[in-house]
Amino acid sequence: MQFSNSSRRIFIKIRFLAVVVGVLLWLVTHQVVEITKFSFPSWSHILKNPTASYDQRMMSKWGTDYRLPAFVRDHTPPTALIMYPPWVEPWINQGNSLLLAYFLYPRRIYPEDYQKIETNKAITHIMVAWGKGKPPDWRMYGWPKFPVNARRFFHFPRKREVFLAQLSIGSFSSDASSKDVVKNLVSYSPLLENYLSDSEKEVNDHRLLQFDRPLEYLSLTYTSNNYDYWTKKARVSLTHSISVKARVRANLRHSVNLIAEVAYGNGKLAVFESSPNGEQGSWEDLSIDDLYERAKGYGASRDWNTRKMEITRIGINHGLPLEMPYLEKYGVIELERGQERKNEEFDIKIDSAPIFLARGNFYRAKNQIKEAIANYQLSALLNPQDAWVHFNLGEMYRKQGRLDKTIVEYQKAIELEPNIAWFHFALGEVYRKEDRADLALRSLKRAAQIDPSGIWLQNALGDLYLEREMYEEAYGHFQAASRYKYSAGRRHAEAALEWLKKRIHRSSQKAAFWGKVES
Amino acid sequence: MLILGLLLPVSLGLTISWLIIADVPVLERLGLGYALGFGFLTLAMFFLNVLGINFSLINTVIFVSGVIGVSLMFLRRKNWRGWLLSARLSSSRRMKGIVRSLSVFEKILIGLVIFFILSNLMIAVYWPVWWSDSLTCFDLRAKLFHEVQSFPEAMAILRDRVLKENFGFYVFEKPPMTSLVHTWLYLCGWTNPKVFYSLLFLSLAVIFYHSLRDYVQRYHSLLFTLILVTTPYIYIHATNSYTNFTFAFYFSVATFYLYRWLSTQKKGFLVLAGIFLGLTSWIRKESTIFFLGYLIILSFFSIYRRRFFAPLIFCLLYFSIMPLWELYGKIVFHFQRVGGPGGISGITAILTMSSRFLDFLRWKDVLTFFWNDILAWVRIVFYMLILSVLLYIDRIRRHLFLFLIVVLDIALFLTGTYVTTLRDGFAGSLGSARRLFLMFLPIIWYFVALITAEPKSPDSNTESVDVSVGSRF
Repeated sequence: MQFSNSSRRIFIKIRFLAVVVGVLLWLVTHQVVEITKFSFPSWSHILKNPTASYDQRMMSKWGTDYRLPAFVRDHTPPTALIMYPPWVEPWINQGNSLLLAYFLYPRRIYPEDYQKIETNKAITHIMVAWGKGKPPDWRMYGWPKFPVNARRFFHFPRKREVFLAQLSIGSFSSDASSKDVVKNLVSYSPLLENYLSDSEKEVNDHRLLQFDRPLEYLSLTYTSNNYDYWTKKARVSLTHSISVKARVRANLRHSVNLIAEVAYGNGKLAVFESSPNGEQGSWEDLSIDDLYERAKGYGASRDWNTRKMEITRIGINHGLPLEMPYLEKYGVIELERGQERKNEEFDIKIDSAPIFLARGNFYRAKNQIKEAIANYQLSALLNPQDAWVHFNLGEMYRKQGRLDKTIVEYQKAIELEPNIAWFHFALGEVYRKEDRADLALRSLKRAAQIDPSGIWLQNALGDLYLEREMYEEAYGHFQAASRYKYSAGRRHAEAALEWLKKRIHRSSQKAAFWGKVES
Repeated sequence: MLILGLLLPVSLGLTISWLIIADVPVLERLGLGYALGFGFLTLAMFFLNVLGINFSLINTVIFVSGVIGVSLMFLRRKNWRGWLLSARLSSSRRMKGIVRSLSVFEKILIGLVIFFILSNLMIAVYWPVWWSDSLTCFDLRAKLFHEVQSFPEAMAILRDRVLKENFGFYVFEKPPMTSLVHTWLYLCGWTNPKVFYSLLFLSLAVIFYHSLRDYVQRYHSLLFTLILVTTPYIYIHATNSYTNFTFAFYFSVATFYLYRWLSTQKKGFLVLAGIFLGLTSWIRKESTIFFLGYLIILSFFSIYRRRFFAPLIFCLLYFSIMPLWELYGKIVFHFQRVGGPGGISGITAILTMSSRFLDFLRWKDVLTFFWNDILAWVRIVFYMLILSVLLYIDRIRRHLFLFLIVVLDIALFLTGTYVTTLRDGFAGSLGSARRLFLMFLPIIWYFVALITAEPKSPDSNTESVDVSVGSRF
């Protein structure tokens, strides 16, 4: 069909108008709206923060996934070699090798391999990463879950608050006459003063509150806290009936304990510690009831004069490290490699558990096992409630091949902190060495109940089942371990899986086994 | 130093553009100079290193200045100073005349284009490089280059110092242009190399406008430049530092010049098309398959127009750049496998898979995947293409070669997608395919703008170009 000339002209004009007007309308409604949607948040941010630093800009895009490496970068030297979490949920970005290589440049990075921490001395730091996203099991959050011989631990600023009441010293026996001796040190000024400390902190608030009873409130933000003693002077002779007590309420579990400084007849000083608070946000009684016995025992072990002992200070350690470093969520651990120390660092004027623990770690790193044990033992005398001291002692005994002692120390550690999977795992491994397979299995299973995410644990369980020829169970554990990308344990798991596949194919259980695995 | 970071490449690019083509408008030349300049600067850095010299700031400045000097000496014979002066005088006079002659509508369009480009520049410069792949590959590599100014040493650092796992192939297999641009800008003291992408966006707008202006009315050209500039997918990618936008720029500009050569047969356009297409292979590996498509169209045209040397020139220019990184990877880094589905080795892979191409059910899946997923963010551009073709079917003949280019591009893209999905599955191919489709958006807009345009008025100061093929076919 032919258009006439005039119809054609009209068609062309209508067509042109439709396209041009249509395009214009569309341009206004669609494209500009889309671009505005994209640009507006940027513009809003630019106008609000025109002078934001590179870190601030990156943090607003990446959040914690950038804040963590930036924090690690700021707390490590450019020559550091940093071990990082596996590249799986929940560490998809925090364990991404290339992202970390970029963010931490020129620092070097090293994938998860806990066995290499001891052997590869070039590794200087370990990242602590809580993780993001939705892992299949919430217990996966937090890394590393293996013990680390730490020299220092810098973590994201964490606010710690504690209310302290009835910080008292005296005889708490039922004998009515002895009650007069009790002194409540919270009820009068001055406030606790910062005494000994190995921490980086900011004091937010510190004051006396008057409610139905006087309370001392202390709020601090730590970025590093090995220990931080806040004390008041006292002068009470230490006799066997004397004890130290306080009521505390802290915002974090395992963040505060009670301390008492004892002066010996020869002028030497030692600080004794109580067990830590076990709950968050509720009032708890802390006490050192056996102070006299402990002080006497400690003095005897140091050959000090224990005839005239005196309590010279009491207070709290507000900088107590949490049960596991990953509970601080994010940070970086500097490994103890027996680095050169300034003389004053090890020149101990006042004996305290954290200092001996640090010395023990130092000698351990230098493979001076005897010295390490001696220091850990002193630390255990000053603070027998520290599960890590017992665990480290166990580790040293294991190195010496004294497995009975190892088991005892591991069991003590478990008694004090029953929810640390690694303690059960370590105990299980010792049982495996001793061919006590049932006990080993029980310990490893308990570890798996607490935290099934450890690649080391899955491999150990896999190996154990393999030894018992329980292939189906072994397969499941190796499969769980093999999902950890770029992890040394993954190679072990994959090799075991390969072996298992070949083995199963040959065996009579084949059909039944694969049927179960597939289901 | 910061100025040097932009001035030296632009000077290099301007000099080269003068060598290639004399008569282009000033703004288009600046756009050309910018794009060519950074392309050749990075090639210069590469060749310096191949010669065993580190591409440090001083070495690169000396080398590039030498190239500029030699080129200017050559241009002297063509009296470049006189040309420059006259161009400046005439362009300043012309600019005044143009501004006076602009209608209100055109002034609004220009204002909007400037606004969006400035906004793009601000956003690009404010935010550091932050997209994941730009960090983990292109900018990480730039950091390594910046530190040691040498490819083998950068690889050694990555392998021995930065990462325990072997990510060398992942980081180094991709062509190096954008990483070298970042390196250059870092060497010149820039803290944010994303300024490059935003200025490239400006260059795209300018070249697009002038490539259209040869054929259509000014307001139409401005309108479609605005549409191009406000295409969200292009705009967003131009504020970031993935290679997709840079690749899209060089690929579409190569297409514009190829089409302009097909219409005018000015040799300079063909040379520019060959160089720009060659430079796409200096950015990403996917260009070879499209080069082959263009070569077919070019050969077809050349036979009818008896321009037998054109395909040869085109090939020569393309292949003078294309194999450089692939060869370097094989010889220096000992990579066994280099190239994606669009590279030379990828073409071989495609040929070996050819027996699987007759799976029609899979083709149906690929088409569904293309329509539902790849086009998800740019489907509206595609609607516009289809609508324009239907409404203006009578004008397709006038721009038949451009139409063929568009159709061939999409067909080759679908073939590439088919092959990639065979290897990576649909989910694995989605992100890359979607981003890669960016390369066609300026070309689609160019085509839509051309066929929807009112014929240019005879009093226009630019010569009217007959792009019809009716007389020949």
